Amino acid sequence: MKEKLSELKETVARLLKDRTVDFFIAYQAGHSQVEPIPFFLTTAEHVENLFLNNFCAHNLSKYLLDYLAGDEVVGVLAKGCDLRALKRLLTDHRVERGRVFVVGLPCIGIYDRKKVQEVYPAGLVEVVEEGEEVILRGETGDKRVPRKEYLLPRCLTCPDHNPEFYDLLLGEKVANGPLAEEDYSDVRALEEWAPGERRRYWTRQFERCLRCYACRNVCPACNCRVCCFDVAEPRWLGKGTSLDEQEMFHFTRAMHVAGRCTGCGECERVCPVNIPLMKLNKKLAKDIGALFHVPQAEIPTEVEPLGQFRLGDPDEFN
Amino acid sequence: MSVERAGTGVSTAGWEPKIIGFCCNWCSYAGADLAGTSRIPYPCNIRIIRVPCSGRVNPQFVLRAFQRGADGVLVAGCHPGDCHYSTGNYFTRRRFLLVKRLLEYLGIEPRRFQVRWISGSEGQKFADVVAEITEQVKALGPAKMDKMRDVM
Ligand code: SF4
Ligand code: SF4
Repeated sequence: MKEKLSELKETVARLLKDRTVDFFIAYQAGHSQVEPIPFFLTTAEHVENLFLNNFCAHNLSKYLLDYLAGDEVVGVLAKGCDLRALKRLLTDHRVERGRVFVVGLPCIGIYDRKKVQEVYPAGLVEVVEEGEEVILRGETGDKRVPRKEYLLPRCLTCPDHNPEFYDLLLGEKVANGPLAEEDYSDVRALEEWAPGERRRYWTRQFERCLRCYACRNVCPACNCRVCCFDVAEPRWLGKGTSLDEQEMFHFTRAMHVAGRCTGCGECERVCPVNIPLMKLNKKLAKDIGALFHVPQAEIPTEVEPLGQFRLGDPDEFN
Repeated sequence: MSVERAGTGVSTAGWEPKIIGFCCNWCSYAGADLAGTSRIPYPCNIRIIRVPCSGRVNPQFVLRAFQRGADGVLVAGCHPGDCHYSTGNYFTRRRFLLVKRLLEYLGIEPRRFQVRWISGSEGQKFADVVAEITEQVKALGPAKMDKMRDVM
């Protein structure tokens, strides 16, 4: 991915110079190699500070919601998963296609910062891919690890290594197809437990929640103009952090993205206290697939699964 | 007589389950009415909340009911095809197929939350469903989810 940096610089500089876009959202260097941060470029001079590597996980298209007013054309760098998130925003009629200029970025996988930091806590200089393995090259020497084990979970089952659509593609397309099938094994394992054990498990997870709402803020499916968690009236959720409010928050968040979640896993990635949010999202995705025959890979759908019905839907309520 | 649930050490002497029943105005509430006017007895454990349509029942209502002391929750609506608003209960069906599974996944025992189709002419069915769910929830014991409020 790093090798595409010079092409990215040229491209963004050109787009800004010829006013194809009014500004551009990409990445800049963060505290270290593994922590790139979003970058909002307004002039071509900024391109010197652009940054790109296999830790650029953030879905930048969510920031488009900050520019709904006005008529600027916003350029955005999008991997396959980010494009799916953009598709979510377009499908929900939150963002106008004409006001977004998509620079597509083919991607073979983003590494999980937390996992890499376990083997390389500091001083990582770069990662070099070598087939099934990846070399973590740093100040204290090289470490060779199996690639699959260090990727973000979403990258293993990613169905679109190349963005589905774009206005311009950076570099060549890469070989497509998921590295592993989604078998929902973590959800199935939990389903096997006794209800009391599951109750204790989720209580232990929810009581850690800080209610920082990072999971909601990063989520492309959480794109309502006014969020039910923010309104004072009606008070859908108390401001306190007692366990009942925590559980209500998680139950509501999961239901509100049911059938709309793109499976990007950003919510779980950004959670500062490692709450396994994907175990909730995946449970719903798995049931939606089984009950209504809408597989995760088809989401976003034009009409969401819970916004429609079939006369022949399963019925167990007689 | 003191009744102790096996293995829990929780005394349930004198305890009666509290069951919240969300009933749609046009069918299930009329069904409950018919049970009453026909003098069909059913357990008084159910507290009925009338809603315009089973589609009005937000999943949050169900969880909140548990968190505020309910031991069981029933959502009742018109049979598919009979909805006063034509299609409301078809959306209910999709939604609650998921909610039911999600609540179970969160560790709430399956029998505590039930959805049933009860028409305005099914007074007997209404009484039977209430008796059945009361019996099942009694066997499970108190849900005790109201205690969550005290846990910070
Ligand atoms: S990101 Fe984590 S801690 Fe923050 S609100 Fe979401 S689940 Fe809670
Ligand atoms: S709920 Fe999580 S996985 Fe689903 S779209 Fe939102 S951030 Fe992505």
